[in-house]
Amino acid sequence: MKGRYWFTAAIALLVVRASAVDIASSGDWTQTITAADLTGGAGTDLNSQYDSPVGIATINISNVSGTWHVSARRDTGTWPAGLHLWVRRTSDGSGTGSISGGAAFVEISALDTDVFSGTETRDNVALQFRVTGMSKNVTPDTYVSSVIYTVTP
Amino acid sequence: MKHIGIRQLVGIAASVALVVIAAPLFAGSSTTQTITFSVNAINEIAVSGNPGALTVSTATPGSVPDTATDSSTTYDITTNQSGQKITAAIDSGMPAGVTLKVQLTAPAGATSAGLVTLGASAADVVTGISTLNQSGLGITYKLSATPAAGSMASDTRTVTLTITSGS
Repeated sequence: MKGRYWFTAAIALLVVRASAVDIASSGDWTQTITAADLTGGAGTDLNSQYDSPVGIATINISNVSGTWHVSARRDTGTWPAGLHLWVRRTSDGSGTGSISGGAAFVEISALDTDVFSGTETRDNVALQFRVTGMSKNVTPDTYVSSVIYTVTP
Repeated sequence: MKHIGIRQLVGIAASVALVVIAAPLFAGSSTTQTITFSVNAINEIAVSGNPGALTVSTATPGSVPDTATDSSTTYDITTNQSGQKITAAIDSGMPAGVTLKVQLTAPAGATSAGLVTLGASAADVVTGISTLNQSGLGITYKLSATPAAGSMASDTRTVTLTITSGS
């Protein structure tokens, strides 16, 4: 039936649009602060900055033709006010296209912030995290926050 | 020439409208990573070294023997907790008639208990310590003896300073 043909075509077009640009990630970061992190033992404060291992997490961009942009934001979780979270790209990954931006640390806040961009697919883009603002004034506890990456064409 | 009916025209228009409206709703994708930071309770204290030998060896006639004093050592402290205190104890009791006392200078915001007699049971020497790091705080030791203690060979005691909870 002709009416059904047009309806099916519209649905097919919608399905194609819905699949555009996928992002996937792997790797989380866990860090424990102890007395060993004092700058000089008793009488001194804690080191203020901590870096994760390079490549502790990776990002894959797939199902894309053309340019894309990755932004990141952090949910509030149980994160104390004085701690700041940063992320940077430490590799180009691999794939058919290109990648740019994000080689310097970018602070992740509650608002989406551009991290890096590229074209076509990209696999295993390595990331590194940094936390700043640690001190003796941070109450002993476990703090958890999620970093949400969003890719847009 | 192929004729397109009204129904087909409506279908085409609806399809285009549906794509234009719905497409942006599905643009982009997201993924999540978890950052976990655990901060342990940190209570660190260190002393600069051992005091010099304390010797009770002089007296004013008619008075008890003179007290021997040493103020050559200091301590450093870091805590990320509130309401902490420092206690002091020696590893074994003093001989009869001999008394060993210690006084610690309090860090900012805390209170020193003054001269405290040392014994095998831990005694509070500084209270009200909260979230600080400070170094070079003074320690004073005083050794006194009654005439009845008599004379004795030199001996040693180990003083243990401990940061613990409770003001």
